[in-house]
Amino acid sequence: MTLLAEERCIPVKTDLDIISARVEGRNLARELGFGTIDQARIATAISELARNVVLYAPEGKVTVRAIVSNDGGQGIEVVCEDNGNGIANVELVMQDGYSTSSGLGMGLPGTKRLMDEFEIETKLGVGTRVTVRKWLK
Amino acid sequence: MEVTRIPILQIENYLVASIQTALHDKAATQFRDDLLERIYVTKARGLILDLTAVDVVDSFLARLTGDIAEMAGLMGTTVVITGLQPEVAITLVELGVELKGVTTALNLEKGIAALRKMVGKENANDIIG
Amino acid sequence: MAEKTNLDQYKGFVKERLKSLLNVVQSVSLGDLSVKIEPPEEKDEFTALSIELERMINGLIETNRVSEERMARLQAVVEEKERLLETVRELSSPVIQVWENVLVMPLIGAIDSARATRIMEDLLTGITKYQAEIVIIDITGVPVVDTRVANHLIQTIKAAGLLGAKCVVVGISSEVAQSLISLGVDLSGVITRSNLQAGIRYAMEMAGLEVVPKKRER
Repeated sequence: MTLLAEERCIPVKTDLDIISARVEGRNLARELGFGTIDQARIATAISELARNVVLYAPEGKVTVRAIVSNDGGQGIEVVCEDNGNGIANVELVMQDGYSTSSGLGMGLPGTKRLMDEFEIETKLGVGTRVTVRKWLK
Repeated sequence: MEVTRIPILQIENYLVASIQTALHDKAATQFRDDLLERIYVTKARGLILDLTAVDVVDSFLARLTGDIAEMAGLMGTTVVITGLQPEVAITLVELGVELKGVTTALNLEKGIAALRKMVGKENANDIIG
Repeated sequence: MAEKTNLDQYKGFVKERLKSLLNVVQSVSLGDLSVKIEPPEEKDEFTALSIELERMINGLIETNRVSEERMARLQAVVEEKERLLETVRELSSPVIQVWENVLVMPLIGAIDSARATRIMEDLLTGITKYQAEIVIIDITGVPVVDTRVANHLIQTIKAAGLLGAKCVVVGISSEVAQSLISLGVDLSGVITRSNLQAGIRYAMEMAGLEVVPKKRER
């Protein structure tokens, strides 16, 4: 997989940044040729991921970039990283219906459903990184 | 910082509010409070939340909408959500988010028709006792 | 003395001819088949080699030409197939308005994930376009309704519901019904009727309509 020059990075700290991140993501998705529905999926996924950062970490950032697969397919990759406490039980948060004390789920299973690829790396005391990708069909 | 308030209109005995996209958290909380206050003051029997201009509904906005519907319901107001865009509807369903206790209609016109039907039924029930 | 000069001359001649032939072979191995071999006017020890080399290059050029022609033909076939597939896709989830606010969506053929998404998108577009409040989804023509298809259907119904449209599923055969129940699919929120006619009757009832015979003229 190769990376193209098209890459945008949005720092995430407050709820306003959630909106900036998803607007950037949606713009790139549109430029890459994704249809309206996929644009909505990508924007919503970014919104969920960025919101986790705002809720559970001091700060983080969202990076969106154009990607090319080994057989020439084009797509978009969103990497959301934060310097929070990390996730103790990844399996638990990936279950539908999981929610924290404030009643808000982490939105991860839903985000996974919206995108084609989903990867999560987390280290306690260090932070979390979620990578999602969607390919043009 | 003064948060721009979302205008809440009144049509017949119903309130109508159009949510514009990019509703950040403070504005959202302000909106919810304004709405509930208006309902209380006007004793509106119905509320239409129009989401025509919304292009992304994430779990936060979905929860906010659900909260508004629940709180309004407690105050005796029927809530109808209108104008959900197809791509937003698909995303919501795939996200796995349910909009509980909320009636939906395609647009404002159908929303008002639905309200009339539902509120009318309630009135009839009240009379019959 | 003369012999030595002859040997040197001969060496030189061999070197030169080999060099020119080597250039040709190098060009060919790098993919350039346009290189020309210039045979000397006088026949020498390398003439036979030159001739065979030229024959070999011409053979390669011909093979390439045939290959390219085949590729072009294959490309045309692939494009035609793509066009046909596109037509099939368009035909596969038509949305038909049968009455004000009432749509029918007859589904025929197998439904995979990609098609299921298209069906959902087409249906929502149809609901928006025709301002439909009731949609009859006819799955009589769908051969296999397993958990995946059922879940796609449920998602579509939910999405349609968010646009204010009620869905009625018709055409569930007894075998499909049995397999769905044994698979544990939760169809509790789904309205069903036996066939299209029953579905339309339901739609009419929901719309507050009745079909009555015309009064006969005396």
